[in-house]
Amino acid sequence: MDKTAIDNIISELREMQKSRDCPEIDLLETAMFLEDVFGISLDESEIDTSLLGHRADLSAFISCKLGDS
Amino acid sequence: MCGICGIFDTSGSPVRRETLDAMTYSLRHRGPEARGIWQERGIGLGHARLSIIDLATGDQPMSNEDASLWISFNGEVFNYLELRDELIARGHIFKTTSDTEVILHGYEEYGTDFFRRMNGQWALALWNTGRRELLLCRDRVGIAPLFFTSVSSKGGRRILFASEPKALFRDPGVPRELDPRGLAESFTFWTTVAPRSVFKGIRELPPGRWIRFTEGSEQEGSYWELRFPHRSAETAGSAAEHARHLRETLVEATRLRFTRSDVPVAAYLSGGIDSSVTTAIIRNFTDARIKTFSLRFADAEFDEGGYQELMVSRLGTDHEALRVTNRDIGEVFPDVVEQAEKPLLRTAAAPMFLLSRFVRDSGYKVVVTGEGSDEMLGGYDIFREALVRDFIARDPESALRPEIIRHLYPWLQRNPAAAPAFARSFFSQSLDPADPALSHRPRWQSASGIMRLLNPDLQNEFEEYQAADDLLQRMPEGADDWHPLSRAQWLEITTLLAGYLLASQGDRMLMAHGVEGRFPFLDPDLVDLATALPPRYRIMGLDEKYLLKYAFADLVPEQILRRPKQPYRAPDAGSFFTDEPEWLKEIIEPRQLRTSGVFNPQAVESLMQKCRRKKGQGMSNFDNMAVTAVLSTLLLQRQTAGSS
Repeated sequence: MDKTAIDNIISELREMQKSRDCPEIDLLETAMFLEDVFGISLDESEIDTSLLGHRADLSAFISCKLGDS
Repeated sequence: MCGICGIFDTSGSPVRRETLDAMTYSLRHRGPEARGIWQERGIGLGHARLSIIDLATGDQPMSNEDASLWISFNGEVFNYLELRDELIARGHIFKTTSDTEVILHGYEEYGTDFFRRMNGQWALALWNTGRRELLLCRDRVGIAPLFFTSVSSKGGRRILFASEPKALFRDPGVPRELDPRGLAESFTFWTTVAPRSVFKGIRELPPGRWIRFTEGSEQEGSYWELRFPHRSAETAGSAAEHARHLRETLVEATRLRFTRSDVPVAAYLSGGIDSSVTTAIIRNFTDARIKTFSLRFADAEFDEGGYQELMVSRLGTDHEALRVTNRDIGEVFPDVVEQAEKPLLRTAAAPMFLLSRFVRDSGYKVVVTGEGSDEMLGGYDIFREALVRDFIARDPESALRPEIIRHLYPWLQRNPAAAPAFARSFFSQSLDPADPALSHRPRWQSASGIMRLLNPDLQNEFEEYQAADDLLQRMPEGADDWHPLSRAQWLEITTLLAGYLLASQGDRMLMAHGVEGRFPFLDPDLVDLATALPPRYRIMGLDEKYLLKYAFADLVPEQILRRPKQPYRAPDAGSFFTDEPEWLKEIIEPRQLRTSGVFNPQAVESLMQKCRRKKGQGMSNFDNMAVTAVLSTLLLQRQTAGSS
């Protein structure tokens, strides 16, 4: 999956979370989403704010996990 | 919609006119405007008509030009004008302007392949005079009902079919008994699943299928099957692109259902997103004020009046609301069961019965509703549960993952004491990611607790019949490779949508008073679109019906788009025990219970005592379900035995 596609999908997730008046990213929901959509299995240590807190970090994280970067 | 029925005697013996008349008459609530019978050697078709398209020349049963093909049809073909033009271009000559005649000519031209081209809702019977062949067919998702049975006759058998089982009971050869396996399904899935019905020997034609009877054979086939793509098959396109496509498809589906009618069409406006969207779309197709109807509940816990008023004021509809009390529900419940002809685990059908009567009394006989949206576009909590249970099942040792349940049920945060018990019950049940019913096990296991109230003989019989295993064997090939959300949707559409929401709470309540429901969210193009959507566009994270909200954000107020999901419900035990109706005392009288033989009298008495003590208030979810199931089953058994 190319970086633009990943960015678009993550943007859609963040827009949805923002529309629910959820200013901070919802970590567990995001973790579930990553496993479901990208097939990235997370262990407990990876579910933390430094990795999953921001859109840019998320995209990089996914690219890294998928072996694209 | 109408009522259809018929008899095919494979021996060629004449069909009894009295039986055919009685069958047709028993369906008069479905079609109060005309009744028609046609018969010849060994065959008879009946029709009770609700006139909606072609009021002048659409009477049935109807034949083609040379009377070699006859039809009795219940439903609508919304694309009949387009199909008619095409058939005329191929040389067919029409004598009416009805959609019924389009089926006759379409079947002549294409055979059963024609059903695939019909956009509509139907149950129909076609008789081919030359081949002496009876064909029954039903729409894709089960909007229109169709039951059939066969009984021995001299030198052959009589095949009987009808829109409702009560018509079949007009033949004295049809047994009037409840089927224990039908009860087992009802007390697991909240409904029987076609082809099984709750009556011994009576089958329901499954949605999307046809069956053909000749003098010596019976052949079944399907022209459509509910399927989802392989989990890894991703449809290209962004949310914006999919939303645009969804919007175009739903607008066209709604236009067809609003404009293809020769009588005025109204709309149900529940206060939820789905009917708000369809009503907002309808507004673009008429200059007149739209007539809308809704239910209000005296009990504030169930009332959605605030949201309804918000939408009425935004759209400026000519709105009428029917206010329903607990007492109304209790009093009308026997009539509701008589129409539903199934055990009911909830009373929610009763207000729908009262609403359709109100609609008919107001001079309308067609309504557009939002039914089907939750199933197709991912609106139910059970779908969100499917995702959450799948997430947790992938790492059952995780301490963090179960925390996500708080996002599913925010009330758990307000009531931390309830959380551990709820989480235990939620996660301890069959948490196997390979289980195709991962989503539905907790609901089925909870409902099947009702079987503990049955008499011991029946309980033993159920131990040998596992309704869930039977259903799962019928999942389409390849379903193991579907996304968990898709599997959950298949189960929900196959069980609760077809058997309960469109039937006991849908067609049967609407048609009890001759009102036709039309369902844009069940348009075949929309169903194809919805099932092919990437799962994340049905539920994004845990946001249900994501794409629908995205696509129609400009038509529906923010308060409705973002309101917490509230399934339509009505008071259960509170309707029977706040102010006990007369029929209730009679039906749970100990001698009656013993004679009935379905339930264990002591167990039922204990449940009833609890309900009486609490006046039906503050009962547990299970007790509400159980008391409704017991009372409806006892009523159904008595009504069936008394049919004559």
